[in-house]
Amino acid sequence: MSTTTPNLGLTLDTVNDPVGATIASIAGNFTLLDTAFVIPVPAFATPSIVLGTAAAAGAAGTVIRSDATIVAFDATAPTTSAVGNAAAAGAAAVASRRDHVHGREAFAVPSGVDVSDAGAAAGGAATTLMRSDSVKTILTATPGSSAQGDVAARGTATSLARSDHIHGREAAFKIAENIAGGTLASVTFSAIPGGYRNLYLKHQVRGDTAATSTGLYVQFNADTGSNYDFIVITIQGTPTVGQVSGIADVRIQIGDAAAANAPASTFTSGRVDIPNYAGTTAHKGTVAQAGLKQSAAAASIYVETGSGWWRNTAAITSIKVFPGAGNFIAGSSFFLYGEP
Amino acid sequence: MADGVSINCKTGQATIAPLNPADQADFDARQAAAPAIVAAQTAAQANLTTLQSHASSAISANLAYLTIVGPTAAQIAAQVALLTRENTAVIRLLLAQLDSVAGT
Repeated sequence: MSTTTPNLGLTLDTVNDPVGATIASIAGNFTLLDTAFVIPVPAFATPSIVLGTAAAAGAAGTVIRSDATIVAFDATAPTTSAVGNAAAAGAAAVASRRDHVHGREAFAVPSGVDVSDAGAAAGGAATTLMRSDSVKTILTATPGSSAQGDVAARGTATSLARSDHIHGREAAFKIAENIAGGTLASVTFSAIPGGYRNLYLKHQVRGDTAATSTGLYVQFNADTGSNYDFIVITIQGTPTVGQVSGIADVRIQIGDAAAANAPASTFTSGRVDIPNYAGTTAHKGTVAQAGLKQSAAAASIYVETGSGWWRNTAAITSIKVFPGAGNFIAGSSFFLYGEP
Repeated sequence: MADGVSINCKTGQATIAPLNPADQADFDARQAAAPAIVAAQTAAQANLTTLQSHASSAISANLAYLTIVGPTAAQIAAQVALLTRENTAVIRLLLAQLDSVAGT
């Protein structure tokens, strides 16, 4: 419905214009002719605008002033996020301030590494983070001692070994051995590593030559020249002391090997020590011990001990053992050890 | 041909092979010399046994001589000869000169 004011010629839309407002004064070139004229104006009200996800016309019959305050924020702190949180639109009807701060998960000391057989990759359950410069610890332990004949094994320890770890070793290490499967004219240990202090050779030998015994000899580094000196002292059961020696000989005698005419299954057992075999200053020396039984009589049982020299300062890299005549029989055995 | 074995201490590999010509020649020479060596050793052992037997007998002979009061010239001469033989035997034993028992 329209109302036309007869004095001003103004037309007011009483339907669409605010209702209830009162014109207190009109400045300008107009003259108020009828002070009783009332223009209907809507009332002011506290804003009740709600932040939402869709625009809406609203239904209030009031207006807001230009300096009114609407509720955009509240005093509730943002939530604390956590590792693994899923994205969410949220449901709060207030906005975030531009300087708002979310709480974050804390840093924590990393836990150790599981190296057990039962260990498996796992996501874990911690709600804390690792810094990029954090350090994970791995347990280490002293390795065990290995022994000759040990079989390779994965192990069960739940700790790791450092790259510079050192295994303990037996006091003497068996470098090589040979147990004759048939007759052998000689036994040679070659490519002897130089990493030990001393060498010693243990033997149990019997020859096939037609005698009760035959000499037992060594040569080094394939030297067959007259570069050896030796002496062997024998003590028989009677007792009688004997000796055999060689000067500028072609070999060192280290005792005597039982031979074909000795009692059946009788071997000579003995040992030869070669101290500082890898040194390059002194001529190499040997210290030998052996036991010989030519027959089952006191006069034919010998204890033998000897010393020998190789007129050479070179490191010993090979040792040849051979009988004075004939071959070693099958079953003769030779064991070469290194002492650290 | 005789065989020798070489054990490589780095690999543990044992290789059996015929002796090389030089080693074979040395083997043959030692084998050829063996009978003489054995004979010498056998003789030395026998001589040793003989000398030890003489030494044992000498003790009783010397004890017997010492019991004689006023030995005759013949007895003295015999004892001197016996002592000389005993002395030679002792020297042979001392020096391990067992290739013979001569003079004992």
